[in-house]
Amino acid sequence: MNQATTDSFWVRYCADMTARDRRNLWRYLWILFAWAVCFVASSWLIEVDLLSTGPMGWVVAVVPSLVAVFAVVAYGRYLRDADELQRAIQLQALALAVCAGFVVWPAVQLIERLGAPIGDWPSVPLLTMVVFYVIGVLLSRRRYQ
Amino acid sequence: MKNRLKVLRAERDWTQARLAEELDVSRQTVNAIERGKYDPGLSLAFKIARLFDRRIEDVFFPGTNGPQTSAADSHGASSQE
Repeated sequence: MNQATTDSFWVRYCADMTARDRRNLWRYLWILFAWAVCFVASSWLIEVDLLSTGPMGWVVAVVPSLVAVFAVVAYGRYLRDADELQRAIQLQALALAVCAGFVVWPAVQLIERLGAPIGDWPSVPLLTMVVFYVIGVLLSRRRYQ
Repeated sequence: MKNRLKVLRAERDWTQARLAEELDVSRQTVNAIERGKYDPGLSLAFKIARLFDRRIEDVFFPGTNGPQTSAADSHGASSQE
């Protein structure tokens, strides 16, 4: 088995990029990781009532969104600097994700009003968008191979 | 849209990775253009033409019967083959 078939998808994905795109993508992913850590930490602090009251409660609630702004800026830079095919792939994936969210989000709202216990799953539309974004990237990359 | 990118690259004995580096794009982009799966934007198309010292219509052309060249074209694709 040659090296190309044994390399993971991620290794091949990064190997196809320019150094600039790889650098921008890694910057974005690190900030995204920081956002995830902040979000989980904030959720936990609010859940256990450690810092959920007073001014600190507001800070705990807002910090993940501030980090998210940095993530959005980093993704914007990645998108702006990416070579045009990579940008097309990303935009097609984003379009698919937004369309999936547009279909799922109102459906979830209506099903919840019917009495389905979706209240415990507030992030269903978000998860749907993430899943369809990944599917969109894979499909678009396949289309241009 | 068809193109002669693969031929022009072969003339210089360049790999796709080398061409991608020269154009500052990913290797996947070069591969997709060569295979006709992706038509580059004007900016990249001009960059490719300039890199190979050709006119843009000598590199990219519609249809399947080869590039459209004019009789007065001293850099015509037909003279390169």
